[in-house]
Parts: sequence; structure tokens; C-alpha cells
Amino acid sequence: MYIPFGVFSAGAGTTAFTSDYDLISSTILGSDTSLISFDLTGLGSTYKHLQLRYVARSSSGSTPDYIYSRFNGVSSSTYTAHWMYGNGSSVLTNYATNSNLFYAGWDSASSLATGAFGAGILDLVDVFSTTKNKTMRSLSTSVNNIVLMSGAWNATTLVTSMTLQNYSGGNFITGSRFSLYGIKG
Amino acid sequence: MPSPTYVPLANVTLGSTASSVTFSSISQSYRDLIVITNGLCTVTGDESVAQYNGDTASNYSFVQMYGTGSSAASNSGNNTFVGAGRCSTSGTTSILHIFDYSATNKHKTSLSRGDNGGTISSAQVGRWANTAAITSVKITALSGVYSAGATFALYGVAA
Repeated sequence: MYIPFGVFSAGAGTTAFTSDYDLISSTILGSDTSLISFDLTGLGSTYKHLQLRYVARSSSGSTPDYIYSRFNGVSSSTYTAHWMYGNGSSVLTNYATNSNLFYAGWDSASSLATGAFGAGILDLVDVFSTTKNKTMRSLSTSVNNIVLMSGAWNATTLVTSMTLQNYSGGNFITGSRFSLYGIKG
Repeated sequence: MPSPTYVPLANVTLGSTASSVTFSSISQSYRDLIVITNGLCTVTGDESVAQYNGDTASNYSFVQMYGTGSSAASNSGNNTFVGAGRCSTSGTTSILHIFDYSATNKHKTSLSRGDNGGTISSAQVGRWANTAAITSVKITALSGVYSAGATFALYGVAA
């Protein structure tokens, strides 16, 4: 009997498939939205790491727009980020320390061609640890820039929520998509 | 019961040299595609590039950032392909992410990393200025050809 790759045949009454990389939630915006929120309560009992995959475009004309995040709604100066990016002509680098937000990635601006969306992959390793500060890395693009970013929330607090917003204050436009995955460890 | 999230769709290991590998009739059931290549090819420091749905026209654009060990640089432009990573005579690790590939209301954005420990580390964004759903992906060695033993794996990431 042919067994499809990744699926294990088992006897009746047993779990036929186990997964260590699970889709937790996925949202495609049906209207422009300023704030994306994730309730992470209780996920730490199942997952060790999180990955956010997104496709996003800002309603702001600023190019690029930065997507920033906060954990647990905390807006005190406890975040740090460093990034380097290529803009098509040079490689540049920047940082933000003791910030009240952490930079998660970039998205595209409204000034770009219709249909052009930025995208990114944000990895949060050991995000549910209560003995470590929270670190992240991302690879993202505003379409006309590419950026490698690292960040940290200098707190050992259990993470229960995460929000995303555009730094410019612009909305994420209709069609933007945010998919959160949990990774077991 | 969890559903498969990161699903292998196709796997190719070359038994002889080939200039390209094409994944066709791609299922439209996923959110993103990921192409992972161990790019063994005949030219050191070569690039792997991707084209979609047989489109060979100048409908693609890119921005690249790379470091050679002595300098870092960035370039950009319009082209007949997007970057899919690197290949070399000693092999490379390249990962190409294609976002929302089955959407019909967006251009197709891709992010790739191409790392050849011998010569270069690079990252590239690509955009295919077409709202058509992607049904095929062709990976091509830009200067040389892929060698026997080069591997290409296509994954679908669940919606």
C-alpha cells in the first residue's frame, strides 16, 4: 500500500499524523487595519518557538514602512533592534536601543505599484521562556529594500500577546496577510 | 488533530547535469512555497534564478544584498528572473520563499538566501509583476549547469 510522504498509517483509533510545525492562525485582511493582535496565552505549553510569515502593504506613502511589535502591551523602553539592509545601491545599517517598541520587519508603501506587497519571516526563538530575554530575527522586504533584522525584548516575562503596527501610523491594507506558526521543541 | 503544515511536494536529485529543474502543476492548496536547493553546479560563485509559469519576459525585479568577505554591496534592477540563491562546484544552501503564490490579487514577492561558504553570502527580494497564481517554478543555473547530485525540494506551507 502506498503511504504518502509525511503521513504514517496507523491502526484504527490512533493518531494518524503528528506535527511539530503547526499553523496557529492566519488572517487575510478584508479591510484596512491599524493593529494586528495575537493572543498567545497558553501556547507555551505546546510550542517552544513561533514563526510569523506575512505579506503586507502600508497605507502610508513612507518607503519603506517599518512594522513594529510589542509583547504583552509593554511600551516601556525595554526593546532593542539592529538591522542591515540593501536598497539596491548600497548596504546600510542602523539600530535602536532602549526603545519602547521592537522593529519586526518592513512592509511596502502605498507609493509602490498596485499589487506590490512587502513580505517577511519573523522567528521568535524560546519565546515562552521565563528565564531568558526574548530574541527575534527576521528577513523581510519592502520590495525596494531587503533587510536582515535582529531584536530583543529585555524581559524574562512570560509572553501572552504580541501586536503589530506600522511605524508610520498607516494601516495594513486589505489583502495583507499574517500567519503565525508554532514550533515544538 | 493537526494537519500537515510544511508539506513536501516534490523532490529532485539530479543523476546527470541539467541546466534547470522545473516544478509544474503545483497544488494551489497552500499559502507559501519554499524551494530548498543544494546547488552543486559547474561554475563557482554562480547564481540560481527562478521563473514562474514559463514567463521569460522582463516582468521581474529584484534587490540584492551580499557580502564577499571583503566587502558588502547591494544592486537592483528589472530582469527576466528573480534570484533563487547560489550554486557552486562545492555546493550551497539556498532557500527561496514565494509568498501568497496562489493569490490572484497580488504580485508575487519572494525572499531568498543563498550561501556559498567559499565565496559569498547573499539575500535577495524578487517581485514578479503578475497577479496570476503560480503553477510552475523553474530553477536555472545562471552561468553554468547543475551537476549530478544537486538537489531541489519544493514545500508547501499551509494556509
